[in-house]
Amino acid sequence: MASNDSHQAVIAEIHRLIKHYDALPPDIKKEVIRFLQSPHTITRLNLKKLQEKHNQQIMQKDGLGNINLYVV
Amino acid sequence: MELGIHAPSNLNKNPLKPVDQQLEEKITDYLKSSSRSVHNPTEFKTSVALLNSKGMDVKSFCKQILNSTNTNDLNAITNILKQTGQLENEPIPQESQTKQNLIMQNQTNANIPKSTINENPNLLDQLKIVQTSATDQLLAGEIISLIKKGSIQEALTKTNGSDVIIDKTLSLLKKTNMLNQQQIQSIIAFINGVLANFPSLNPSIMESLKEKLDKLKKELEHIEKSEESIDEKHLSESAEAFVEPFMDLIDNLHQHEGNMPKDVANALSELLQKIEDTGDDDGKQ
Repeated sequence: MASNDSHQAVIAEIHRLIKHYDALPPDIKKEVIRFLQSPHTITRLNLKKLQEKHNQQIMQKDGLGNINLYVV
Repeated sequence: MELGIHAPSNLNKNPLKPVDQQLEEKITDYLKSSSRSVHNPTEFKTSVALLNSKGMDVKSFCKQILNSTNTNDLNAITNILKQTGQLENEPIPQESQTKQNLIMQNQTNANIPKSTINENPNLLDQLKIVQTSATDQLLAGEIISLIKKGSIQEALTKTNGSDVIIDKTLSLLKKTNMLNQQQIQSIIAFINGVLANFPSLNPSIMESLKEKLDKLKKELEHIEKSEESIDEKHLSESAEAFVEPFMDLIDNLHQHEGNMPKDVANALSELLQKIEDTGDDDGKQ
Protein backbone atom coordinates (compact mmCIF):
# COMPACT_ATOMS: atom_id res chain seq x y z
CA MET A 1 0.00 0.00 0.00
CA ALA A 2 1.20 3.46 -0.84
CA SER A 3 0.43 4.98 2.55
CA ASN A 4 -1.30 4.23 5.79
CA ASP A 5 -4.15 6.57 4.84
CA SER A 6 -4.82 4.84 1.55
CA HIS A 7 -4.71 1.43 3.11
CA GLN A 8 -7.19 2.55 5.77
CA ALA A 9 -9.38 3.82 2.95
CA VAL A 10 -9.16 0.44 1.25
CA ILE A 11 -10.14 -1.34 4.43
CA ALA A 12 -13.05 1.04 4.90
CA GLU A 13 -14.18 0.37 1.34
CA ILE A 14 -13.96 -3.39 1.84
CA HIS A 15 -16.04 -3.17 5.01
CA ARG A 16 -18.57 -1.02 3.22
CA LEU A 17 -18.78 -3.64 0.47
CA ILE A 18 -19.24 -6.41 3.03
CA LYS A 19 -22.19 -4.54 4.54
CA HIS A 20 -23.53 -3.74 1.10
CA TYR A 21 -23.32 -7.38 0.09
CA ASP A 22 -25.00 -8.55 3.29
CA ALA A 23 -27.89 -6.22 2.58
CA LEU A 24 -28.49 -7.46 -0.96
CA PRO A 25 -31.62 -9.56 -1.58
CA PRO A 26 -30.90 -13.25 -2.38
CA ASP A 27 -31.72 -12.94 -6.08
CA ILE A 28 -29.33 -10.00 -6.47
CA LYS A 29 -26.64 -11.94 -4.62
CA LYS A 30 -27.12 -14.76 -7.11
CA GLU A 31 -26.86 -12.29 -9.95
CA VAL A 32 -23.60 -10.95 -8.50
CA ILE A 33 -22.25 -14.48 -8.14
CA ARG A 34 -23.16 -15.34 -11.73
CA PHE A 35 -21.42 -12.23 -12.90
CA LEU A 36 -18.31 -12.84 -10.81
CA GLN A 37 -18.13 -16.44 -12.01
CA SER A 38 -18.41 -15.49 -15.69
CA PRO A 39 -15.24 -16.30 -17.61
CA HIS A 40 -14.67 -12.73 -18.72
CA THR A 41 -15.04 -11.41 -15.17
CA ILE A 42 -12.69 -14.04 -13.81
CA THR A 43 -10.12 -12.97 -16.37
CA ARG A 44 -10.58 -9.33 -15.59
CA LEU A 45 -10.45 -9.71 -11.84
CA ASN A 46 -7.52 -12.08 -11.99
CA LEU A 47 -8.00 -12.96 -8.37
CA LYS A 48 -5.52 -15.77 -8.70
CA LYS A 49 -2.78 -13.28 -9.47
CA LEU A 50 -3.91 -11.14 -6.57
CA GLN A 51 -3.88 -14.16 -4.31
CA GLU A 52 -0.38 -15.12 -5.46
CA LYS A 53 0.86 -11.61 -4.89
CA HIS A 54 -0.51 -11.48 -1.39
CA ASN A 55 -0.64 -15.17 -0.68
CA GLN A 56 1.08 -15.04 2.68
CA GLN A 57 -1.25 -12.48 4.19
CA ILE A 58 -4.46 -14.09 2.98
CA MET A 59 -3.40 -17.51 4.15
CA GLN A 60 -2.61 -16.12 7.58
CA LYS A 61 -6.26 -15.20 7.87
CA ASP A 62 -7.97 -18.50 7.33
CA GLY A 63 -5.18 -20.91 6.71
CA LEU A 64 -6.32 -21.94 3.26
CA GLY A 65 -7.22 -18.83 1.32
CA ASN A 66 -10.72 -19.69 0.21
CA ILE A 67 -10.79 -17.17 -2.58
CA ASN A 68 -10.01 -20.10 -4.81
CA LEU A 69 -13.67 -20.27 -5.64
CA TYR A 70 -13.15 -17.54 -8.21
CA VAL A 71 -10.08 -18.97 -9.74
CA VAL A 72 -10.34 -20.94 -12.97
CA MET B 1 -5.51 -46.70 -63.02
CA GLU B 2 -8.13 -44.90 -61.02
CA LEU B 3 -6.94 -41.49 -60.07
CA GLY B 4 -9.38 -39.34 -61.92
CA ILE B 5 -6.91 -38.51 -64.68
CA HIS B 6 -7.93 -39.44 -68.14
CA ALA B 7 -5.67 -38.05 -70.80
CA PRO B 8 -7.45 -37.71 -74.11
CA SER B 9 -5.81 -38.62 -77.38
CA ASN B 10 -5.33 -34.96 -78.32
CA LEU B 11 -2.99 -34.45 -75.39
CA ASN B 12 -0.73 -31.44 -76.22
CA LYS B 13 -3.01 -30.01 -78.88
CA ASN B 14 -5.23 -27.83 -76.73
CA PRO B 15 -3.98 -24.40 -75.75
CA LEU B 16 -3.82 -23.48 -72.06
CA LYS B 17 -7.19 -22.61 -70.57
CA PRO B 18 -7.65 -20.57 -67.42
CA VAL B 19 -8.27 -22.63 -64.33
CA ASP B 20 -11.75 -22.48 -62.97
CA GLN B 21 -11.69 -19.47 -60.62
CA GLN B 22 -13.46 -21.14 -57.74
CA LEU B 23 -11.32 -24.23 -58.01
CA GLU B 24 -8.19 -22.12 -58.12
CA GLU B 25 -9.28 -20.27 -54.99
CA LYS B 26 -10.00 -23.54 -53.22
CA ILE B 27 -6.63 -24.91 -54.10
CA THR B 28 -4.89 -21.71 -53.09
CA ASP B 29 -6.72 -21.68 -49.77
CA TYR B 30 -5.81 -25.27 -49.26
CA LEU B 31 -2.17 -24.57 -49.97
CA LYS B 32 -2.16 -21.61 -47.62
CA SER B 33 -3.67 -23.66 -44.82
CA SER B 34 -1.49 -26.67 -45.46
CA SER B 35 1.62 -26.97 -43.39
CA ARG B 36 3.10 -29.39 -45.88
CA SER B 37 5.58 -27.85 -48.25
CA VAL B 38 5.10 -30.38 -51.01
CA HIS B 39 5.00 -27.76 -53.72
CA ASN B 40 4.80 -24.04 -54.26
CA PRO B 41 1.41 -22.54 -55.11
CA THR B 42 2.50 -21.01 -58.41
CA GLU B 43 3.91 -24.26 -59.69
CA PHE B 44 0.86 -26.10 -58.49
CA LYS B 45 -1.54 -23.72 -60.20
CA THR B 46 0.44 -23.99 -63.42
CA SER B 47 0.21 -27.74 -63.22
CA VAL B 48 -3.51 -27.57 -62.65
CA ALA B 49 -3.88 -25.23 -65.61
CA LEU B 50 -1.99 -27.70 -67.75
CA LEU B 51 -4.13 -30.58 -66.59
CA ASN B 52 -7.19 -28.54 -67.32
CA SER B 53 -6.00 -27.59 -70.75
CA LYS B 54 -5.44 -31.21 -71.61
CA GLY B 55 -9.02 -32.04 -70.78
CA MET B 56 -8.14 -34.10 -67.75
CA ASP B 57 -10.51 -34.49 -64.88
CA VAL B 58 -8.97 -31.76 -62.76
CA LYS B 59 -11.95 -31.36 -60.48
CA SER B 60 -11.98 -34.99 -59.53
CA PHE B 61 -8.26 -34.88 -59.01
CA CYS B 62 -8.37 -31.77 -56.89
CA LYS B 63 -11.31 -33.09 -54.92
CA GLN B 64 -9.06 -35.86 -53.79
CA ILE B 65 -6.33 -33.41 -52.90
CA LEU B 66 -8.67 -31.07 -51.07
CA ASN B 67 -10.04 -33.93 -49.00
CA SER B 68 -6.73 -35.52 -48.38
CA THR B 69 -4.79 -35.02 -45.19
CA ASN B 70 -2.36 -37.80 -45.87
CA THR B 71 1.11 -36.53 -46.72
CA ASN B 72 1.79 -39.48 -48.98
CA ASP B 73 -1.37 -38.76 -50.94
CA LEU B 74 -0.40 -35.17 -51.37
CA ASN B 75 3.14 -35.95 -52.39
CA ALA B 76 2.07 -38.55 -54.90
CA ILE B 77 -0.70 -36.45 -56.40
CA THR B 78 1.46 -33.35 -56.45
CA ASN B 79 4.26 -35.21 -58.16
CA ILE B 80 1.85 -36.30 -60.85
CA LEU B 81 0.68 -32.74 -61.28
CA LYS B 82 4.24 -31.54 -61.53
CA GLN B 83 4.81 -34.09 -64.21
CA THR B 84 2.24 -32.45 -66.43
CA GLY B 85 4.60 -29.49 -66.59
CA GLN B 86 7.30 -31.75 -67.91
CA LEU B 87 4.94 -33.12 -70.47
CA GLU B 88 4.52 -29.60 -71.81
CA ASN B 89 8.25 -29.44 -72.52
CA GLU B 90 8.69 -33.02 -73.61
CA PRO B 91 5.67 -34.04 -75.65
CA ILE B 92 4.86 -37.68 -75.31
CA PRO B 93 4.22 -39.54 -78.53
CA GLN B 94 0.59 -40.29 -79.17
CA GLU B 95 0.28 -43.73 -77.70
CA SER B 96 -2.56 -45.43 -75.99
CA GLN B 97 -4.25 -43.44 -73.27
CA THR B 98 -3.39 -45.99 -70.62
CA LYS B 99 0.25 -45.99 -71.52
CA GLN B 100 0.41 -42.20 -71.44
CA ASN B 101 -1.06 -42.19 -67.99
CA LEU B 102 1.28 -44.87 -66.82
CA ILE B 103 4.30 -43.02 -68.17
CA MET B 104 3.13 -39.83 -66.51
CA GLN B 105 2.70 -41.54 -63.21
CA ASN B 106 5.92 -43.41 -63.56
CA GLN B 107 7.84 -40.22 -64.11
CA THR B 108 6.50 -38.68 -60.94
CA ASN B 109 8.96 -40.31 -58.62
CA ALA B 110 12.39 -38.76 -58.97
CA ASN B 111 14.03 -41.87 -57.58
CA ILE B 112 12.52 -44.11 -60.20
CA PRO B 113 14.01 -44.01 -63.69
CA LYS B 114 11.70 -43.17 -66.57
CA SER B 115 10.30 -46.43 -67.82
CA THR B 116 7.04 -48.13 -68.48
CA ILE B 117 4.81 -49.07 -65.60
CA ASN B 118 5.40 -52.75 -66.26
CA GLU B 119 8.98 -52.33 -65.10
CA ASN B 120 7.85 -50.58 -62.01
CA PRO B 121 5.00 -52.42 -60.30
CA ASN B 122 5.69 -50.84 -56.90
CA LEU B 123 4.62 -47.46 -58.13
CA LEU B 124 1.35 -48.92 -59.29
CA ASP B 125 0.79 -50.34 -55.83
CA GLN B 126 1.68 -47.01 -54.31
CA LEU B 127 -0.83 -45.21 -56.47
CA LYS B 128 -3.50 -47.77 -55.62
CA ILE B 129 -2.86 -47.00 -51.95
CA VAL B 130 -3.20 -43.31 -52.73
CA GLN B 131 -6.51 -43.94 -54.42
CA THR B 132 -7.83 -46.06 -51.53
CA SER B 133 -6.65 -43.52 -49.03
CA ALA B 134 -8.35 -40.68 -50.89
CA THR B 135 -11.60 -42.67 -51.00
CA ASP B 136 -11.41 -43.30 -47.25
CA GLN B 137 -10.82 -39.62 -46.76
CA LEU B 138 -13.91 -38.73 -48.75
CA LEU B 139 -15.92 -41.19 -46.69
CA ALA B 140 -14.59 -39.65 -43.47
CA GLY B 141 -15.69 -36.25 -44.78
CA GLU B 142 -19.19 -37.60 -45.42
CA ILE B 143 -19.28 -39.03 -41.90
CA ILE B 144 -18.35 -35.65 -40.42
CA SER B 145 -21.17 -34.01 -42.38
CA LEU B 146 -23.63 -36.59 -41.06
CA ILE B 147 -22.45 -36.04 -37.48
CA LYS B 148 -22.80 -32.29 -37.82
CA LYS B 149 -26.33 -32.78 -39.11
CA GLY B 150 -27.08 -34.99 -36.11
CA SER B 151 -27.48 -38.21 -38.14
CA ILE B 152 -25.43 -40.20 -35.66
CA GLN B 153 -26.78 -43.65 -36.47
CA GLU B 154 -26.14 -43.16 -40.17
CA ALA B 155 -22.62 -41.90 -39.42
CA LEU B 156 -21.93 -44.96 -37.25
CA THR B 157 -23.19 -47.27 -39.97
CA LYS B 158 -20.95 -45.60 -42.53
CA THR B 159 -17.85 -46.24 -40.43
CA ASN B 160 -18.62 -49.95 -40.63
CA GLY B 161 -16.45 -50.31 -37.54
CA SER B 162 -13.36 -49.82 -39.66
CA ASP B 163 -10.23 -48.74 -37.81
CA VAL B 164 -9.02 -46.80 -40.83
CA ILE B 165 -12.27 -44.93 -41.41
CA ILE B 166 -12.75 -44.14 -37.72
CA ASP B 167 -9.16 -42.98 -37.47
CA LYS B 168 -9.53 -40.72 -40.51
CA THR B 169 -12.82 -39.38 -39.16
CA LEU B 170 -11.16 -38.62 -35.85
CA SER B 171 -8.30 -36.85 -37.62
CA LEU B 172 -10.79 -34.66 -39.44
CA LEU B 173 -12.73 -34.04 -36.23
CA LYS B 174 -9.55 -32.82 -34.55
CA LYS B 175 -9.23 -30.19 -37.27
CA THR B 176 -12.81 -29.05 -36.96
CA ASN B 177 -13.10 -25.83 -35.02
CA MET B 178 -15.78 -23.34 -34.08
CA LEU B 179 -18.37 -25.95 -33.30
CA ASN B 180 -21.65 -24.95 -31.78
CA GLN B 181 -23.24 -26.64 -28.78
CA GLN B 182 -25.43 -28.94 -30.86
CA GLN B 183 -22.52 -30.05 -33.04
CA ILE B 184 -20.38 -30.82 -30.01
CA GLN B 185 -23.21 -32.87 -28.53
CA SER B 186 -23.52 -34.76 -31.82
CA ILE B 187 -19.81 -35.54 -31.91
CA ILE B 188 -19.94 -36.71 -28.31
CA ALA B 189 -22.87 -38.97 -29.20
CA PHE B 190 -20.95 -40.29 -32.21
CA ILE B 191 -17.80 -41.08 -30.22
CA ASN B 192 -19.85 -42.70 -27.47
CA GLY B 193 -21.59 -44.73 -30.17
CA VAL B 194 -18.27 -45.84 -31.66
CA LEU B 195 -16.90 -46.83 -28.26
CA ALA B 196 -20.06 -48.76 -27.41
CA ASN B 197 -20.57 -50.47 -30.76
CA PHE B 198 -17.04 -51.27 -31.83
CA PRO B 199 -15.22 -52.56 -28.75
CA SER B 200 -12.60 -54.37 -30.83
CA LEU B 201 -11.17 -51.19 -32.30
CA ASN B 202 -7.42 -50.64 -32.27
CA PRO B 203 -6.53 -49.65 -28.65
CA SER B 204 -4.61 -46.55 -29.74
CA ILE B 205 -7.64 -45.31 -31.68
CA MET B 206 -9.82 -46.05 -28.67
CA GLU B 207 -7.47 -43.98 -26.55
CA SER B 208 -7.53 -41.08 -29.01
CA LEU B 209 -11.32 -41.22 -29.11
CA LYS B 210 -11.52 -41.07 -25.33
CA GLU B 211 -9.14 -38.12 -25.23
CA LYS B 212 -11.20 -36.29 -27.82
CA LEU B 213 -14.34 -37.12 -25.86
CA ASP B 214 -12.89 -35.58 -22.69
CA LYS B 215 -11.90 -32.43 -24.56
CA LEU B 216 -15.33 -32.09 -26.11
CA LYS B 217 -17.05 -32.56 -22.77
CA LYS B 218 -14.93 -29.80 -21.28
CA GLU B 219 -15.66 -27.56 -24.26
CA LEU B 220 -19.37 -28.22 -23.88
CA GLU B 221 -19.21 -27.52 -20.16
CA HIS B 222 -17.48 -24.23 -20.88
CA ILE B 223 -20.11 -23.22 -23.42
CA GLU B 224 -22.92 -24.10 -21.04
CA LYS B 225 -21.24 -22.16 -18.25
CA SER B 226 -20.78 -19.15 -20.51
CA GLU B 227 -24.46 -19.23 -21.38
CA GLU B 228 -25.36 -19.20 -17.72
CA SER B 229 -22.92 -16.39 -17.03
CA ILE B 230 -23.95 -12.80 -17.22
CA ASP B 231 -22.52 -9.81 -18.96
CA GLU B 232 -21.79 -6.55 -17.14
CA LYS B 233 -24.14 -4.71 -19.51
CA HIS B 234 -27.03 -6.90 -18.45
CA LEU B 235 -26.66 -6.54 -14.71
CA SER B 236 -29.57 -5.13 -12.77
CA GLU B 237 -29.10 -1.74 -11.18
CA SER B 238 -28.89 -3.25 -7.68
CA ALA B 239 -26.24 -5.80 -8.70
CA GLU B 240 -24.28 -3.18 -10.58
CA ALA B 241 -24.25 -0.95 -7.51
CA PHE B 242 -22.26 -3.64 -5.74
CA VAL B 243 -20.24 -5.02 -8.63
CA GLU B 244 -18.84 -1.72 -9.86
CA PRO B 245 -17.08 -0.69 -6.62
CA PHE B 246 -16.05 -4.29 -6.06
CA MET B 247 -14.30 -4.38 -9.44
CA ASP B 248 -12.70 -0.99 -8.75
CA LEU B 249 -11.43 -2.32 -5.43
CA ILE B 250 -9.83 -5.36 -7.04
CA ASP B 251 -8.30 -3.21 -9.80
CA ASN B 252 -6.95 -0.90 -7.12
CA LEU B 253 -5.39 -3.80 -5.20
CA HIS B 254 -3.76 -5.08 -8.38
CA GLN B 255 -2.07 -1.73 -8.85
CA HIS B 256 -0.14 -2.01 -5.61
CA GLU B 257 3.06 -3.90 -6.16
CA GLY B 258 4.15 -4.16 -2.54
CA ASN B 259 2.86 -6.60 0.06
CA MET B 260 -0.70 -6.17 1.10
CA PRO B 261 -0.97 -5.16 4.75
CA LYS B 262 -2.33 -7.92 6.89
CA ASP B 263 -5.51 -6.08 7.88
CA VAL B 264 -6.32 -5.32 4.22
CA ALA B 265 -5.75 -8.95 3.33
CA ASN B 266 -7.97 -10.03 6.21
CA ALA B 267 -10.76 -7.69 5.19
CA LEU B 268 -10.53 -8.81 1.58
CA SER B 269 -10.55 -12.42 2.61
CA GLU B 270 -13.68 -11.78 4.68
CA LEU B 271 -15.44 -10.19 1.72
CA LEU B 272 -14.49 -12.98 -0.67
CA GLN B 273 -15.46 -15.61 1.87
CA LYS B 274 -18.89 -14.03 2.21
CA ILE B 275 -19.42 -14.15 -1.53
CA GLU B 276 -18.10 -17.68 -1.68
CA ASP B 277 -20.50 -18.81 1.05
CA THR B 278 -23.43 -17.50 -0.96
CA GLY B 279 -22.19 -19.47 -3.94
CA ASP B 280 -21.97 -22.60 -1.80
CA ASP B 281 -25.46 -22.08 -0.39
CA ASP B 282 -26.74 -21.63 -3.91
CA GLY B 283 -25.09 -24.85 -4.98
CA LYS B 284 -26.68 -26.77 -2.10
CA GLN B 285 -30.18 -25.62 -2.99
